[in-house]
Amino acid sequence: MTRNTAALAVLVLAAAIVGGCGGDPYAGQPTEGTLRVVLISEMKGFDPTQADEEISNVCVYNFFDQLYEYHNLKRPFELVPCLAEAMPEVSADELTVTVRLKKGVRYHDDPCFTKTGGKGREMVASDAVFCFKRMMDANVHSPGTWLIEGYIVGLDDFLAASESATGPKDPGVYGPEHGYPEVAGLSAPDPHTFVIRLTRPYRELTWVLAMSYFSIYPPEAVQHYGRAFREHPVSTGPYLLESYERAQRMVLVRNPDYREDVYPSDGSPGDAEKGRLDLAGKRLPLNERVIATVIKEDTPMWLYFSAGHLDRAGIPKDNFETAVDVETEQLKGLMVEHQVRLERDPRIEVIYDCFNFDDPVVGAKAGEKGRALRRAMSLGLDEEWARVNLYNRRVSRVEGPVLREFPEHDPAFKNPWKRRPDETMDQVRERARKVLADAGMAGGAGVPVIYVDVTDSSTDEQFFVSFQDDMQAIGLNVQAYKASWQEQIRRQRESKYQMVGLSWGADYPEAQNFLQLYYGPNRSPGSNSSNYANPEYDALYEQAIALKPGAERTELYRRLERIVVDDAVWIFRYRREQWSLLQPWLKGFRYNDISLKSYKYSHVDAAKRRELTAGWNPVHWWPSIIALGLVALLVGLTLLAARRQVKGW
Amino acid sequence: MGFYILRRLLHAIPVLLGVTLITFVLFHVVCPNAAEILVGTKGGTGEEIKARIAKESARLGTDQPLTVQYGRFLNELVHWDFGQSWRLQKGRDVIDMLGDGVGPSLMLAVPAFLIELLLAVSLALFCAYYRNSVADITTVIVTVAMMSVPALSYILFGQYFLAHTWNMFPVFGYQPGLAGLATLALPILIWVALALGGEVRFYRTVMLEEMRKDYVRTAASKGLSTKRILFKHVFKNGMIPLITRVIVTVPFLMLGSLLIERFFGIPGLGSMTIDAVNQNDLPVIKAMVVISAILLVVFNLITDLCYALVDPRVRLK
Repeated sequence: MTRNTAALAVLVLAAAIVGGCGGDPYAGQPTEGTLRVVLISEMKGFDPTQADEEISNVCVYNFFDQLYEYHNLKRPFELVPCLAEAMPEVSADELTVTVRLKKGVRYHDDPCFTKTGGKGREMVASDAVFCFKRMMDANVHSPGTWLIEGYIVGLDDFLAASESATGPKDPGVYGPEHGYPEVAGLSAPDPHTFVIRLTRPYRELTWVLAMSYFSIYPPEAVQHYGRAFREHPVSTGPYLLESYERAQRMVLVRNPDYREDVYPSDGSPGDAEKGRLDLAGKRLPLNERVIATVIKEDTPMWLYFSAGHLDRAGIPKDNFETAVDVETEQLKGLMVEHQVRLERDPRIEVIYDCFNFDDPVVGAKAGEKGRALRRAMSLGLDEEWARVNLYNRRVSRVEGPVLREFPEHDPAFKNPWKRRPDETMDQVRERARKVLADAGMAGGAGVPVIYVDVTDSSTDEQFFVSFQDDMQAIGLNVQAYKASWQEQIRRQRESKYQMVGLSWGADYPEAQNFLQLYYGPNRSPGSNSSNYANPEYDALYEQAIALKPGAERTELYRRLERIVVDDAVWIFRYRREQWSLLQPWLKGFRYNDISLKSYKYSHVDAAKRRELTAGWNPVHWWPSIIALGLVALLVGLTLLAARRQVKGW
Repeated sequence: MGFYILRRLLHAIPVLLGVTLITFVLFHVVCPNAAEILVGTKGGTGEEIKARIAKESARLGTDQPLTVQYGRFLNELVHWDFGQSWRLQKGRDVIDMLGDGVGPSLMLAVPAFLIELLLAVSLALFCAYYRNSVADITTVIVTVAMMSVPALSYILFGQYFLAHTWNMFPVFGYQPGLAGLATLALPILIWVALALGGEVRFYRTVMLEEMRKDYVRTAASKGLSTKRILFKHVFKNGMIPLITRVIVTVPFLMLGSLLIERFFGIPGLGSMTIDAVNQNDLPVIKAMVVISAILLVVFNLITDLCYALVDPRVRLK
């Protein structure tokens, strides 16, 4: 290669790089009706049986249909039929649940339908039977089996048999020839009727049927693709998968054969005023394409949103004060300039400090003293300081485990072991000191050091230091027990810890999902990490969950809440609020932390996006010209200096 | 040479065994029973969860004695089987995941490394020739200053100013092939800025060492041109440390850049490693550790073989 050719090649390469730089990251792709969203970690595929974390749930909820789904607007949450024709019919003894399916709902066209030459067939009830069985196939290793384990007649036997079944694993067909028994509790008496026979009443079943684990898909897809089903999903849902690059992006396009499905025409009070019903009655999905880009770090995500390349986003902690006026809690600066809207939605969760009831200092063995200690610690926590300084105010107060979204919530109930709104911090600390003094522990006398399990993360460290200061103010010595995340889990399982900060997010929006966390038999390694054991509580809990929703159950749930709060099993801290930023051209989106099904409801006004973003991202070459000039000057001066001071050999 | 290679490969066996043993022990200290993490706490009484953990332990083999588990680990390694991912891509073969990640890592690392090497060697020769002059000192100060800035600062500055505010580069993204060069331009620039200082200092020392030798003075007194002395003699004789450094760097190129890949959305092995650590995906972490060790051993051997090629005085015995 001559010197001139080499120079030319370098120039062409440089021109190619520079030519491709800057501009719209979606250049060359259709913009009309395209929803552009972010995924905060890489995708793990579309297999509903494996949807145990946020991004898998985003993929599965938006791609698949379930028998039921969450109403997009109603809060508290409500379920509506999705693939089901109506809400389930439950027998008088509550042991038979019949789900009537919509007729004429077809799967996407896909090569897996070999009998029809790739034409998608109608979804039928036997598909639901298959999907339930696949959930319980031990070879599939679904993390969601616990949702139906022990509830459906014959399904546990199926699970046991699947462990020793011969033939291929996850075959897409379950017959006696491979050692899989029939499941008496799952049947499809006709193509549009799915019947579930239960071993005991299961009040939460309808919520479970709306979960991503219980999406409906054709057995042919599993048979055809095998393990690759996760990358070749087939559903009845609103989108087809155009492209899927697990660590980068997925592109969904409208399913032209999608069933009749419209945006809801009713919502919660205030929705009409907020314009949330403007799209009422419009055919879903409300967009032609969805481009979901994987952006794991907050900074590039935030810059993408600020440049208008994303239609919605959360607010990263480090960018909070750039976007929000902390005093008024309203948007400011560029966000106002760009007409961005802020929506705030509480999550169905509780963030709490957990006491180990097996511990001789803070637990049940310490008797009244232990209870007084837990109550005093709950009182001593400066919740407001942490809310403002550690959470950017994006949390709200929690009184107990029965959240305000649940019908059993008692609005009059105030946790007596938390700071009252009319109390100063000095007053509440005085109250905490008195609780300690009344129990013979004035100023923390006789209380040994209490250890809190803390990981090495800076966030955990910040939380711990503020908690330690709060406890010191009431005379208690709290120290950190540094443990990795894995070691913390082990310590909880083995009941070796004293205190630990935890959170619980609802699997479904029912108070029972929180109240089971204190049920004695659920102790470690179960979900009752406190190892709380109170015979009165357990008896009431068993009584309550056997009741149908109504006044009697509400009363029992409230009693359970009071017992837990009175015993100060946890320090109830807060629940997080999701602060969503929505670009002005996005409509129809409503945050839902349980179902994450939002794509089909999101409408993008592409003309408005074009009009508003024009001029947002001009290319500036002057910095590079100045930088190159400076480099040239430096090089020139250096060469000049070199020539004058030749050292040679 | 054949005997030498065989001997070195045999020497590598205890090294690799040591690495596997340390890896195995470390992961069993950090996570004594992976089944506990995989089962979780949901759905059932404590006794039911214990039964599930026992079942999962039996499936994973974590209920076996440690010696049996270590034996199985070695057996899998010999068969180049790193098992399946627990979390990142649950159920997928780790070896396939690593295969997917190598390409993007090399797409970033190879051009960045070549540019960095070219610039570093050129600047080092320049500095060595004009040693202790203003030019030399300025170059060293600038490159060392560049080296001293944390990687994250470069990334944030680059993404905020160069990409977002001035719109000169894409903020983020990756495309395979030549089309991806535009998205890789900024990460490559940052890589070079980060690495240049250390490399210039190293190669400057190497070149200075050579320039002080008698043969250089002899060559100069014979009247050879500067260009000929620098490139024909000094550069050639400085090849041994240069080769060592280049070849030892190759495994790290394959393993990717942790921060740059993550911030720029490059789906390489560096980004995968961070995700695996964050999500506690032990099979992926174990595979990365073991493969790193194997690559280091292999490339060290290649370095030794290359010595003999560039310096006929070196004999491999």
